[in-house]
Amino acid sequence: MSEFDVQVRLPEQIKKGDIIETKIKIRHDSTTGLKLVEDAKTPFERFVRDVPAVYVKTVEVFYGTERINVFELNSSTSDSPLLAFKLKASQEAVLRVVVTNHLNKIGEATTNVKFAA
Amino acid sequence: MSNEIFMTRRKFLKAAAALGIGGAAAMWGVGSVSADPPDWLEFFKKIKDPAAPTDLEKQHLMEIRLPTIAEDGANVPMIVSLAHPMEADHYIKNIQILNFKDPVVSKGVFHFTPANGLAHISTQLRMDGGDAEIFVIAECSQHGKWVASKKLKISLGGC
Repeated sequence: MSEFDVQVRLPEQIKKGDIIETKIKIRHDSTTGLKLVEDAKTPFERFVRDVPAVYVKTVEVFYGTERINVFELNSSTSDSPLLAFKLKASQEAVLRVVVTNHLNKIGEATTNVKFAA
Repeated sequence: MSNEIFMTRRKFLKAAAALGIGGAAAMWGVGSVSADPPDWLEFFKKIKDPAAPTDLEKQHLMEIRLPTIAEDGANVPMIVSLAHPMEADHYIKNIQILNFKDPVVSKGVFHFTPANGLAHISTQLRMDGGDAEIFVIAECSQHGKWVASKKLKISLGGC
């Protein structure tokens, strides 16, 4: 995996007190590293480890100084997931997203929550 | 030890597993493939009659959006939302997504705070092929863990 990119997006018009949709796009590979066993006799034998798993491990969201979300993910999340969640726009502040992958490498993205005039 | 005490102890251990250890094991358990959901799910609260929920049940009613048939198991879109208060002393703490039929059972644990205003998550899952039942466990800060599920079919496995 060579690329690791994080983007965060907010609606264009935000009013104080709105509950807004926040989207996080993470460009990151994801694989369970498991191989299907075609002739497995029980459900427990259907998959075997082929290669190490590759995945996004955690996504943390900071609004101002407060950590408001932690998403614990693993290899069962798709490649390059688009995560969306809600945020109550209570203040004008920086929204920072910190993404950590299975190798503990970190990617970050920030944006400003700014109220429409 | 009397049978009554034994049963109580066993129930306690099952409940402990359901609330902590069991959930943690399911969270990252690779290889815990089973066609049936585990017994410990019975310890979570459910909406008894979805057609006529009580006021308490209405707060913990989960809207689970999944395709009925997903063609590509490598990318199955899913949205979970609860119209639950998100106040300092009463809010949804987290949402867990599980599929006990998959080699990687946990599909993520999503933690929230009152600053979110609404417990809502949209994600994309990697799932094995065939018939599946996705379980969602939502933890309320006052009323414990609630479970709901939804069935779907995956045309081509993505694990």
